[in-house]
Amino acid sequence: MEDSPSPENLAEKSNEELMRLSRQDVKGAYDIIYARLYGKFVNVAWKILRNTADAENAAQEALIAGYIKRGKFLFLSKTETWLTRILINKAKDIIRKNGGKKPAEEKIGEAVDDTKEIERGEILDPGIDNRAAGNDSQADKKTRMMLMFLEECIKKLPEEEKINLELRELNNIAFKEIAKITKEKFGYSSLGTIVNRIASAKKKVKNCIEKKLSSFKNIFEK
Amino acid sequence: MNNKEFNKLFDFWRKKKLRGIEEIKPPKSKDCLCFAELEEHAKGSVDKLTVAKKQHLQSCSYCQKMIATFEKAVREEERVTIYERLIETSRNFADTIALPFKALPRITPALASALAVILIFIIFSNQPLELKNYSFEFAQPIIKTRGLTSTPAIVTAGSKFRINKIVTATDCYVYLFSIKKNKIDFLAWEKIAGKIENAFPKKGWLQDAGRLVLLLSKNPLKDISSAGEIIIKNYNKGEKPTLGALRKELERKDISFYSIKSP
Repeated sequence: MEDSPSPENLAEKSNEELMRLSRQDVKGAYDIIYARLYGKFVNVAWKILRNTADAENAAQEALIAGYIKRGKFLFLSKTETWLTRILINKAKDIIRKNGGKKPAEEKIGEAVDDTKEIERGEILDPGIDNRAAGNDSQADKKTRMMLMFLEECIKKLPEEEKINLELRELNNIAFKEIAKITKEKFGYSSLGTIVNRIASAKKKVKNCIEKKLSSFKNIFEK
Repeated sequence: MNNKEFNKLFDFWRKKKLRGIEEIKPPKSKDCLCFAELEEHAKGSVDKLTVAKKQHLQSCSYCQKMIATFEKAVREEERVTIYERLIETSRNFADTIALPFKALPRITPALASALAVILIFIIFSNQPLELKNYSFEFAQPIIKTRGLTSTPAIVTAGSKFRINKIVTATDCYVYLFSIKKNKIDFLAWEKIAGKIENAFPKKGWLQDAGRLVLLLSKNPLKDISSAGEIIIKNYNKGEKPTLGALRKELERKDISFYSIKSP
């Protein structure tokens, strides 16, 4: 096991460089990738599974599997893309284990406190209203308000459109990978359908914001 | 709100949201095992861990969960490796078997059409009896040469059956055979002292008979089964030239024949 380079140097390296070092058994290299991607992965998994424990497990399992399989990584894509693919497969397995197309919360006969789950999920899927946006000097009152509207409008979208939109537009997941999830959850895997769902979701969000803006027009004008 | 404004807002939302996501960190403390240590642990070399780490392991639920997940992933990977090796071995085996066939020419459109022609020829050369009916059109002249007349007529056997184009024969022995799926069965014989229409009046004889063959002979047949064999042999050859052979063979026994397809 190699001990060089130092952890400070490792932190500056890209994921690909860290992966190469990890393949050379450099201690701590993969730990940085893990720390970097954990949040993103938990967020993606939560969007798919809508269950905190499952999301954390999926992210952890995917990153550990990535470490074990690192010898097979051919550097044909980015490390993050490769690991995301593993994550999507893990999430798919969990959906299948939980009983196919129905999300865990919707299981009949199982008393699940939805509000609690959403509250827990907020940690894994943080909002923007009370975070960086609030302290950002560039974001004026109107922008912050519109961002809040955007958040609210996205939350109102049907589950199917929300997942497609967030995975693609926020987490930048490949269509092919999204198709794996939609196939398990909603029973379709056509890329055309996914593109249509995203476009429709965007249109709905835009209309929703416009509606909200028109009702708040007077406030902005003042 | 125009599209440009909306996209700008969307980008802004994306950036802010990703910033929030990056703040999510694994619940890991400084003392927790790193991946290299987890790997050592999974391999069974726990002794390499320091005493402090060992003590930490016992109390840290995060590390315990990581160890359990790591071990599970290792087992899974081992299973996948075995499966992949199995597939590779079977692929190599298949390649070895296929080696002699690699020298064969690749299927081109020309080769494919040639193969299709050969296939069609094979199919039609083994055609069923129904396709060979035309050959028995030549049976009528045989009857005429024997001094029997052949005229279109309808014979009703019972109420169910109707035979078109049957021969009109007088003062001869008529033998009825059925041919179905290359098999010949003797059904009945009758000595006719008048017209053939009077023969075989019994109901049900022609039911499910397939193709019927009538043998008309001036004298009674000594060996019915051998006459049947002659017919089926020639039937199976089925081609126009073989009718001559059939005729010669039957003439030697003083027999005429006629075939009808049952309705």
